[in-house]
Amino acid sequence: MIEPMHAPIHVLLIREQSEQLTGGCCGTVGDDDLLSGGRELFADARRDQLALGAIHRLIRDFFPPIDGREQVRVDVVDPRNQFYLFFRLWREVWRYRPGLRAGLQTALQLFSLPAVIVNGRVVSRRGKPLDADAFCRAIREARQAMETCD
Amino acid sequence: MWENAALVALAAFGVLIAAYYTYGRFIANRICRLDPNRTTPAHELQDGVDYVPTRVPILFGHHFASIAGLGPILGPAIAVIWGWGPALLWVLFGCIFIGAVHDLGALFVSLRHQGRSVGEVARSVIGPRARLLSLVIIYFLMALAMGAFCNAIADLFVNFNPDAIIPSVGLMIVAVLFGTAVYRFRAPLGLTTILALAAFAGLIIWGVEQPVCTYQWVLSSETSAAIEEGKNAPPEAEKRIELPYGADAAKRYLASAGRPAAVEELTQAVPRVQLYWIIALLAYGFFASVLPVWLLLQPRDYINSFQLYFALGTMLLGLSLAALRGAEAAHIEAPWFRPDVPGSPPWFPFLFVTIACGAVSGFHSLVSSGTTVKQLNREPDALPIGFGAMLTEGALAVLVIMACAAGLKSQYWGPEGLYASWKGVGGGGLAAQLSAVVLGGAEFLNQLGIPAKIGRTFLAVTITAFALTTLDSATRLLRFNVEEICRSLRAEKLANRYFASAVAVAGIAFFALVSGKTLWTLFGTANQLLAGLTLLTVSLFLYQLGRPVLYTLVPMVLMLAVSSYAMIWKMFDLWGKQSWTGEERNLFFVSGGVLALAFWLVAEGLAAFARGRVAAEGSAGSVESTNAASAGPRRNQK
Repeated sequence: MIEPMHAPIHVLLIREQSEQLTGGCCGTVGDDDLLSGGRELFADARRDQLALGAIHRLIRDFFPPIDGREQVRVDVVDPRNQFYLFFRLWREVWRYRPGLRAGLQTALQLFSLPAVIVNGRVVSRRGKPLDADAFCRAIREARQAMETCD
Repeated sequence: MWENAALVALAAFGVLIAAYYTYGRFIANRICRLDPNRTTPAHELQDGVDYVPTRVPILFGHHFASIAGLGPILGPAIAVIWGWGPALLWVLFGCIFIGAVHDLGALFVSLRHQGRSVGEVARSVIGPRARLLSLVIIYFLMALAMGAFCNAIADLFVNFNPDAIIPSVGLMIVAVLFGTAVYRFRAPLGLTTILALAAFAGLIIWGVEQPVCTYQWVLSSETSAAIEEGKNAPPEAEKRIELPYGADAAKRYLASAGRPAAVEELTQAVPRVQLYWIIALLAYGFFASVLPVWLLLQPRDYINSFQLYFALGTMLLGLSLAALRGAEAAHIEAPWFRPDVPGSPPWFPFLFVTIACGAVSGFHSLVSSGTTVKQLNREPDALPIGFGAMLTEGALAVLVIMACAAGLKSQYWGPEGLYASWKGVGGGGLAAQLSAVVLGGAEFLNQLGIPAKIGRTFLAVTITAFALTTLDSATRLLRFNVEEICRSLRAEKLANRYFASAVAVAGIAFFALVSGKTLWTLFGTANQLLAGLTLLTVSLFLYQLGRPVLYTLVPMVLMLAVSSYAMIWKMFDLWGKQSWTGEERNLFFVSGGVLALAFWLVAEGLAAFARGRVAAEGSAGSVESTNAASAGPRRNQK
């Protein structure tokens, strides 16, 4: 079932958490300067974080909640969180039915890191985060699609 | 009911769930007073990069993947030797009243200090020496853990699981290819993941078909031929070496075949081959720690997350199926309580330091106050994330206890079995304990139709992969430490990655080569000291806020008292000996060092409490008022 037009647009930003250092017996240690001495070990992952961070801020600035209702709902997920990610992607595809090709691309994760997914459709290309204009265009298209379906 | 592993596990899970809704809520609402209207650092400092408000299901997955590792598997596998009852009770009690309170407390103090790490908060709440203390404990911890892991992997490869060698080495190559494809050529994630996992599955099958018996490389041709004879004996033969052809099994075969000279030769060869493996692992640690992280560390860590989920899921499913079918694997073979294990130290206090991570782990505070706190959407979310994730880790420890108590068949608990005496599991080294988990877990996997030999190799490789990833990153972290020390000594030229890595590896080698197989208890104690430091910080912060401190202070005192008692017992035991081996001498001094850290921690705590509420009121008060003032309309994600 397609949700009514006032339902928020779902944006999924998939990128790695920067610090994946294993600290001992128990999994990974976060970005504790005490351990890493403030080094930028994960420079590549950091670049992706910063790029998607710009999109995150853009959403907050340009699509703020109206009357307490979100226009755009954004989630940031690490690909290691596969248990959540797998079900979430399939649910997005099921909910928005973006078409066979786009749906398969999303559901089978046929996208590169980092990825931007808007209403079940991958809008980033070959791991390159979108610029502000392209992202706003993707949001507009998603909104139009929802209105049309509604 | 008490003989059915699945029902016991279910009952334990029920206790954990009940604890979440009762004690967890009490700590969150009455002690921490988590406030849904208070702005969290994720909102206050939201930048979409580090500070990102994240919904509970996502953050729970991130947090749990960060705290779950090898720790909750090893401890319970050893401690079950004193009976599954005390091990289970300690996991439940420790997890609920200490571990989960510790994790939630760490998250709470960090939340109220704008997402600063517990180490930094400790410095402001306890004093500047607290930072030095936490650094010393952390590096002690890492070097001990790495020494133990090197030892365990070498032991596992030689004595128990030669079938894990090909997949473990192959996984490194797969990880490098995966890293290059995903991070350099921007290959599709799903496709690359499927290819990597398929390659991993292929490596496991290859490893099962072709175990690499490295111990044979140094044996005489006669002994080697005798071992080959045992390997190639028909399956119905009474005397044969079973897959995966570990040195341990080979030794038993040679003894039963009446070849004492060959047994003697093999007994002498095994430590030599283990030494070669340890050297190879240390060399690996050196090279891996100077490589860029995207090439090996990140991709292997990514693959590890799949291994962890798959192993947990299949073990749980297998146990449930075994129970439903009334299979032998669901029947608990271990005794409920066995205080008089031949050759073992007393169950009290050693049970409590043997199971460290499954009940309480200081390392979790680093995760809680590192990444997690910066993503917490609402303060009350700290309950499912901090408290809930620790209880989930406790459930993992329960599963391991059941794998050893029920998955291992009765012969492992018989007079000749692995758990017959301390020599088999406790004194047999980490690999013997890992082997118990591998064998027991494989029985559960077998219930799902996964052949025992494949399940065994899969679990062995999963454990090895975790240990190798840990070795890589811990060497890296120790390297930073050495670089800092060189800089502070104005020896800038020595503060380079190669020299620092060499020194870090030398530190790990000291524990791996010299201190041998008794490191795990020391590691557990050091981990609990770190947890003690966090609980002290939380207690002091609560004290400054005028809240009850009993719920954090009593667990801290209990834990420090028990672990100190264990260290003192060990030192007295060694002191009474006529002469010391090299290993015993080192153990004595390392135990002394850990004990000194515990006393230092207690002294810091007493001094901080003596300074009183007023002295530190400023910091706590300012944190409270700053947050209250900035608590504007909450940008909430539902």
